[in-house]
Amino acid sequence: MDIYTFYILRVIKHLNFFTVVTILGFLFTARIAETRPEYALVNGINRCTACHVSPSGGGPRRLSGKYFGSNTFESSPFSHQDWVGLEFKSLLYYPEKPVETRNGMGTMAGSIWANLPIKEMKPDEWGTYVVLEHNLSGFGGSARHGYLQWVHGVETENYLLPQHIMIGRFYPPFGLTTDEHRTYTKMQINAQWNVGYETGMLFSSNPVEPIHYDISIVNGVKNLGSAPDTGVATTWGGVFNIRWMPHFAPMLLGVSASHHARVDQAKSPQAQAAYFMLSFHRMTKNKFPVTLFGEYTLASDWNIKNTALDSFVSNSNYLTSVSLNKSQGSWFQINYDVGTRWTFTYKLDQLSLDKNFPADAYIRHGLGFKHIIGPNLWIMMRAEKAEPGHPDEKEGSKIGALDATWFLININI
Amino acid sequence: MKLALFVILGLTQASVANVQKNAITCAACHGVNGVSNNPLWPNLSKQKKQYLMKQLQDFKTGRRQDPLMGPVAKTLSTKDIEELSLYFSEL
Repeated sequence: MDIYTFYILRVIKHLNFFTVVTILGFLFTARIAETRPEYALVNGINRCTACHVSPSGGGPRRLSGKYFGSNTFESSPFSHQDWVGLEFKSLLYYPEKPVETRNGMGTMAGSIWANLPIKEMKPDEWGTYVVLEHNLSGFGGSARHGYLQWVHGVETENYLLPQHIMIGRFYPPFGLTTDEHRTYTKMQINAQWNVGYETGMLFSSNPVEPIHYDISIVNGVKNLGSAPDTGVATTWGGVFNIRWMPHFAPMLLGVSASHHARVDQAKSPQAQAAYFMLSFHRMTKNKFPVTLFGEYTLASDWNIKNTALDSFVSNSNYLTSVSLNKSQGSWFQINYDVGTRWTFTYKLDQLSLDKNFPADAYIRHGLGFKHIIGPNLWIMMRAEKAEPGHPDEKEGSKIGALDATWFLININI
Repeated sequence: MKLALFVILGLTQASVANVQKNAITCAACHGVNGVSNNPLWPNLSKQKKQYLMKQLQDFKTGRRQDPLMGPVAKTLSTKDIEELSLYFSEL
């Protein structure tokens, strides 16, 4: 019996009548959607800067973002400012083969960040900010954000030309940006949250409120912040992202494209993605609090020297055999909000390292929940079932082949 | 008791349920009972109905600008605005 089935059966065995009634009670009194990036998008907020310092989302938060994430809990006194902040994230990870892979407790993030105004933003003027974020104790490297940002006007204004200009190190927005740190589409192009930082310039704006664009021009190495990974050395590259969130419908559609030139190879990795979100909260006046997500990514020349795939594919011969092939990845997720601070999730990941052989695809099912227990304090738990398609991967010992259960706790201040 | 009050004030039972569902969205920032736990956003409980209606209309039309309230107000119909304003004024 696999670990996924084991845990499900154990839960079912301990259910009794009163537990079932309680669960059903929650289901029929489903209420507030918890504060997440998805929640902001559900309510038609098409600017990550409503909560975050960076127009690409994630990382340091504005005061509104700290309070938004408090989810009606009283924030700590330290949170009543947005010059500095902290994030702590710890993980208990239990894969199918703990002897052969990393397992146990780890600190994913122990970060400190600063958002220092050199000149505050004002109508018709440029504001200037220095933003730094450093991961002091988590795995995934050290330096995170480090940039100088200019912002024209205030956050409700629309400009055809970039309203935000950043220079430095940041996470170029590609595809759907959510709290999910490890999706197959992000691993496909080595763009997981703790890895995909790049150095360059970012230009962002909302020409009209329903449309947002990001244009990144990057130079250097996509790395963890420590010594450069020469295996994916790049020269110049570009990442483009645009999304549409109409006022008349609770949905989002977006496309992204990226191109990175390599110094050590003739071919340059490229990727294209299309993504969507659809919320039933507004459509049904919160009676059916479900959000759907989806992303589809095509990539070429990303199977080579991709550190994410090195820990994903068990058989190095198989990885070598598909190194020049185009890959296709997708992920799909359903979030169901229950009560005031619970969200239940089903997630489906898929990755074909050779898109012409879909039978060899890696599939992953994930079922779990997220629970907010305090101001910007939440826990997650998920059970995952891996189904690698290629025969040489079925008994593998790396991420793509292994079931796993994990528990995570996260706090932001 | 509160239901009876809302009915007297002109909200049907179906409308009250609708308002309560809509008000969940407001609670994320303004508190579950219209009392905000953070200093950035105001309490809505016992605020004047006409004032709430005007502010929501101003956010909806863009006359008053806020990166969070603007988009949220645009999702509200005129009926939603009136009912929410009445709901919070009596909360």
